[in-house]
Amino acid sequence: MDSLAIAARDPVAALAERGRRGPLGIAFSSSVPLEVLDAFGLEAAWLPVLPADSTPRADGLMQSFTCTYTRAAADFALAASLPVGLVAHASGCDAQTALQGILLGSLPMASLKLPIAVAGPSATRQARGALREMIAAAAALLGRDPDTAVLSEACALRGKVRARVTEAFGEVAAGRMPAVRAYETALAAQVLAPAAFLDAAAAPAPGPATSPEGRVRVLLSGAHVPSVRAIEGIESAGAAVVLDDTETGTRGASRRVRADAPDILDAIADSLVDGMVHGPVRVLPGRGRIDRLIENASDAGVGAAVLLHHRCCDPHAFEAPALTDALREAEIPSVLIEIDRDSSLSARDLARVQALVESIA
Amino acid sequence: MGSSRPIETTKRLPRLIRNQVIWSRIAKRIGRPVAWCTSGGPVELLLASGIVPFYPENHAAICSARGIAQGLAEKAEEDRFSHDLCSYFRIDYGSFTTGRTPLGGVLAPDLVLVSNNICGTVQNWFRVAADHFDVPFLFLDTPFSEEPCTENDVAYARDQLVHIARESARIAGRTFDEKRLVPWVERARDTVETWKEVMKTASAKPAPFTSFDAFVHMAPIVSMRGTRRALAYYRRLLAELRGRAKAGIAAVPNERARAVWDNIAIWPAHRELKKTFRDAGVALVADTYTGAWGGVRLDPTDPLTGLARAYCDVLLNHGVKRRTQELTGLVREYSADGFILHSNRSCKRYSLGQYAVRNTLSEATGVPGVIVEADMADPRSVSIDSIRQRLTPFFEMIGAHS
Ligand code: SF4
Ligand code: SF4
Repeated sequence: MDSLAIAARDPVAALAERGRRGPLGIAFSSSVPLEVLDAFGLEAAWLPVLPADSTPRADGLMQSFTCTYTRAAADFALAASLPVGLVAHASGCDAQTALQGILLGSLPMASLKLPIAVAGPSATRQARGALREMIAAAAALLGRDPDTAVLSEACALRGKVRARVTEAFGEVAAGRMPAVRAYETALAAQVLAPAAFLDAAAAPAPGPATSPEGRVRVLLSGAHVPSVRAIEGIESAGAAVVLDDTETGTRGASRRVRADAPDILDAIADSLVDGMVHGPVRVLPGRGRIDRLIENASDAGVGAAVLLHHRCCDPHAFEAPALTDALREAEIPSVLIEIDRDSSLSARDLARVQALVESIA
Repeated sequence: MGSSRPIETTKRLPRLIRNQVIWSRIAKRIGRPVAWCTSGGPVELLLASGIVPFYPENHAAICSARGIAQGLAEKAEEDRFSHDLCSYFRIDYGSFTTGRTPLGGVLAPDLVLVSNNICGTVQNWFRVAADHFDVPFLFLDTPFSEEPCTENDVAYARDQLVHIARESARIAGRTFDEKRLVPWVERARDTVETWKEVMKTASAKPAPFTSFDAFVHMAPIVSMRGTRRALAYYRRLLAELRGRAKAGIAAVPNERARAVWDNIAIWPAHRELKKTFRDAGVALVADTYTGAWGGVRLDPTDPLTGLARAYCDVLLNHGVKRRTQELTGLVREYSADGFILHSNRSCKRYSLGQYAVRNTLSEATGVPGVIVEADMADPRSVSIDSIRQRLTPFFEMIGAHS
């Protein structure tokens, strides 16, 4: 295993390593611009789904109907074993939105009040104001302002990281990279320092690219991919993930910051509104998201879809019936897998993916 | 101590609501557009354009109180909506897709108006409804905040209100005129103020009015805010309650202890719970749910900015800090001996953070609190026995007998 695979499979160790270098700047959402946390001199990372058989610290603060992602992330941040300089979260689903209040007494929290309705000039204005408010709150907590020179560099570097993740999924669609490798890349990008990630990602991928030939081409949709093992499970059932629609994968990596913008903070804020592919947490005009997804699935020659949802994730649960209907209309059968604490698929879920694959094959 | 007899004004409530339903149907028939609106939606904009509002959340609560919630929720689940989604949504979905409602027929919308100032559920729920009826979806996005809302937040909300006002006027075949908004905002403000006074009567000892009454009497403040009928109703109720307070007429005979409630009522167990409290001599003197409508501050001098501020500022658009402050204020103002937090599995926005609230609130007020697990509307997630098991020791702790 190379360093990307190691970081993706053991994110806690990767974060511990970074914590030894300095205080962590933890983001609970892909909508928190990590470049800003970098500019504060923090070891910035966006938490992936962390393996958690139990989450005692979080369970003392939030009910069991909070999604596992939020509970595991909160539990990690609350563990006294690592130095946490700042925890940043962005408004989104109710679980994420509630976090600041829940963790406020226990952790240094900064909140980014991004618009939920992401269209039009007023949303952009709101995002610009909200980003400045978040920076001011973080500066007050940390006792220092962000370094503007570092911010420009970090912005460029983080842009390269996201571009590399996007490229990896492009290679998957073209059959040049196994999906498992693309998810390793995406998960590693969340926890490694940007320079270390780019170095590791520049090296040729270990092992041959397995071709999706002969397997059912699958769209994977959901919020946070729980682990690389979940992808391995899906693929072991005879599927080949060729198209991604997850926060971990293409959505989280889609944000683009205009390099020629006169004001870097405005450019970052704009990228969070109209410079990224949004999931169902945000409100877009019409049925834009589902229509686009179906179009992409048809273009990618997808034969089936796996909806990998976290239990109690309202935004994805609301979308599921309309999405599965639209997929069915496009003659793409789908299966909805609901995951809770397990980071890999249960035997029952694997059987369901297998049944889906067999129904097509 | 004090005697007890039913509140007279309550008798007028069914007729008030029935008339509202009848009026909505007539209005629809004569061509007035109907808007489905969230309880925190800027209804004043609809009213000023002659649009008739209808509140699916109220409707779901009525379905639950009338005992038809389970079948309706199951329809949503059959249609692949997760059982973990808000039961108000599942009930309402079941109703509008099957036509089953206790109101004599589904009042189909011509538009929907949503604000996420109460939760992130409603934007999805009303999108599903807008798609089902193929009608426009108008959305007021109010940035959630732990701290008071900023001028940036207010400006953002105001921009959207201008758009909503113009769009709803266009749908109603009118042109938006801010001046026409003023009387609606004034009446809404007066109604909110009167409702606040109504709730304050429960600070008297013994309390002439409890949250169990408020849960029922809140219907007009949610669904008829801004109308003359609602204002007149609350003025009458206030006069009666002030008289009862003066005469020492108790809502709970032999009131021995007082408690404050957080979160939505538990509709499937409303009657049993009311009796449980009554038997124990515990007056539920205040709550954050019905109290939220007393906290809305409207300003007719600059109606749009005032509405923007008011709708950003509603209780559920703020987190733990504000809720703790609110509850601390209620415990003190109403001389409560304890508090009850309803951990409502349907409503994440209301429930997440309650563990933190419990600890800080107990520290701040020195009174004990208890968390009860239930659901506001789905009877399958409500066990009166387990609620009683939690309440019994709590009642003992605050000096009541159960
Ligand atoms: S989007 Fe879903 S999975 Fe992600 S934090 Fe929110 S509820 Fe949890
Ligand atoms: S009960 Fe809670 S989640 Fe459901 S609509 Fe009301 S505020 Fe939203």
